Amino acid sequence: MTSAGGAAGDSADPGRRYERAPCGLATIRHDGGIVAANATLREMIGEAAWNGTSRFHDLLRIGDRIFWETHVGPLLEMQGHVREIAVELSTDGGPLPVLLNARTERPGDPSSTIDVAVFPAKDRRSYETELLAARKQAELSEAHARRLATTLQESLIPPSVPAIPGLELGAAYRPAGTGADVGGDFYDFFRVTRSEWCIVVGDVCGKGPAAATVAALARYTIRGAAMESNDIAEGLQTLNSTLLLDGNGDMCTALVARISRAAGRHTVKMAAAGHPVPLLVDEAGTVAPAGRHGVLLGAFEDADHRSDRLELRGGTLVMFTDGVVEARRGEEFFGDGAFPKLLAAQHGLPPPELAALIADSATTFQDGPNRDDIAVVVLRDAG
Amino acid sequence: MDVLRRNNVHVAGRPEAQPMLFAHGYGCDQNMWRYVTPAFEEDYRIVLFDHVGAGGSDVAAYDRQKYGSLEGYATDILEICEVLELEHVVFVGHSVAAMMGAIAAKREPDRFARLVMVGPSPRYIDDDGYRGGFTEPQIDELLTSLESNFLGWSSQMAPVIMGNPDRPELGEELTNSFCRTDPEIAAHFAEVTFKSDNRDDLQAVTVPTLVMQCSQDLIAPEQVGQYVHDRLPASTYVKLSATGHCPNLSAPDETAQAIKAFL
Repeated sequence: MTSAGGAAGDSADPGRRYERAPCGLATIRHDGGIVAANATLREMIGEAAWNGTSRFHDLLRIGDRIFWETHVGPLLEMQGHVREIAVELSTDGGPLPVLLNARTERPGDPSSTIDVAVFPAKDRRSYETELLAARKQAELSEAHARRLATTLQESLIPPSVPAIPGLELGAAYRPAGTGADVGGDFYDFFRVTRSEWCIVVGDVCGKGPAAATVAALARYTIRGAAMESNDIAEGLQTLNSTLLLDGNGDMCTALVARISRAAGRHTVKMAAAGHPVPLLVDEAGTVAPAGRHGVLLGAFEDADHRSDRLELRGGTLVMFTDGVVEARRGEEFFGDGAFPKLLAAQHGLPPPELAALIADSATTFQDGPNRDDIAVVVLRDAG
Repeated sequence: MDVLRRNNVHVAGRPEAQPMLFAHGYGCDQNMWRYVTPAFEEDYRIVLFDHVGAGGSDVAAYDRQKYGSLEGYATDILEICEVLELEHVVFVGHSVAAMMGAIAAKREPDRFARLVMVGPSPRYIDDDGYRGGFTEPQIDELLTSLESNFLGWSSQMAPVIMGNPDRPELGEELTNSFCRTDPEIAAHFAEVTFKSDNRDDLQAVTVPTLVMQCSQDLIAPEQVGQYVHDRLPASTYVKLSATGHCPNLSAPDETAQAIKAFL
């Protein structure tokens, strides 16, 4: 009975509760001079450090003191309190990370005092330090990955559009999402003979570095085949066999156009494999699909590819990947109406501008960021 | 560009009277002057503003290049003067803003009638034969300290804080708002402030200047205030009994009296 009564008496004693409070408590003047402090705080600091201190501010590291002068002090004067201020105190056991709450009864009155509560926060602070370091590392890695993706992506499309006599050419590429990952779309322009050029637009199934390596393989296989044979359908067959023989299950679509100039006129031979057929816009602005569809590459051994022939006659040939026509807003696709309408209205623009306009329109047509990569190549007979 | 919106400019006091332009220093915003300006409202036109990046300024206008030195801030001060057609300006700058005022007065001396420097320092880091009070590693330590205290910063809160500084009903959410800044801007401003060296600008300031020195000021110690006073061609030195770096908050009456005596 007696001992229980005594314990209750002890815990009810405000003086003792102050001294033994589960956080450090101090009352200080505005210049940091210590008016009072409880035992918890004195023990937290340690005897040697405590006896060497007349001002609370002396316990702070210099960086924290500047922070105190420029932030904490002004806040106390303006709003009367501060919370969760992270500083380090010098103690006998070395620097101790703590969180501080402080309050003053009369802001703006230098004769009033400030009550400070001090909570040790060693574990929390080391955890936060780790989090900060991890965030910095993550930011660095992300920047690195983005640079890699960009470099890889740039290797899949030519750095610039070549000047081809008698033709105007434009191209545009927009990556899916935020551009952090490399996509599978690619295009290429190359000369095959003195008077002939090839244009290739393709799309590898999948995304990321694996898709990029397949895109590179596809691009150079078509290039090599085009130098060997003037039959573009044969080039597609070669790529089909290459993908199948690799046995990795890689698949891609491709559209190959071989342009030759004779007697001032441009003839286009083209073949599509699993790829959207291009749209031809004539000088009056009539939009029509050109050529036949063909089978996806890397899927079937007996895929048969055929080429079609068409005369440009001053018209504009628009080649693109499915990211353009399948750009979606709700139930509506960009390819349904908006795309042909845009071409009919704007087909007179110079090809580089038209290509950029198509890519940007398909991008803004969507509710959010691009779901898929977008590649556009525009070719016009300049007469 | 709307200068008044960009710098969150507030005008009060007597409309046709001589203007007093108050500039806050590193850390907080124009609220730093809340206890001082009432003493001047009857006799002066009071102009308050936030530096870009602080308080209610337009954070989108923050340009690391422009604000990579105090010159950019001085440009803003002169633009505010121009837009409001302020003449014979009494410029009152606290802490680093004192040097912004020095640069502005050097560039357009005719614009200013008087400069008041509260706790000025032309260079915080020690140099050969000069004691600014800090070493470079100590300033780097400040940047670490800032970082530890930005853990509570949430970018989602930023628009609320920046857009509604005058709405006390947001009370709890707005704790510390007077001194809250986007972490990257605060770190950059800290670096620009504490690594600046404007010692050579002082002798070009011909405008009569009051140097107000506090007692026991860690940020701008007494020898630095003396140095500023010695270098300025036309200055008056006054030492306040107020302690710390912010007499405008801790001793507003003494601060106002000292400014009045000078004017």
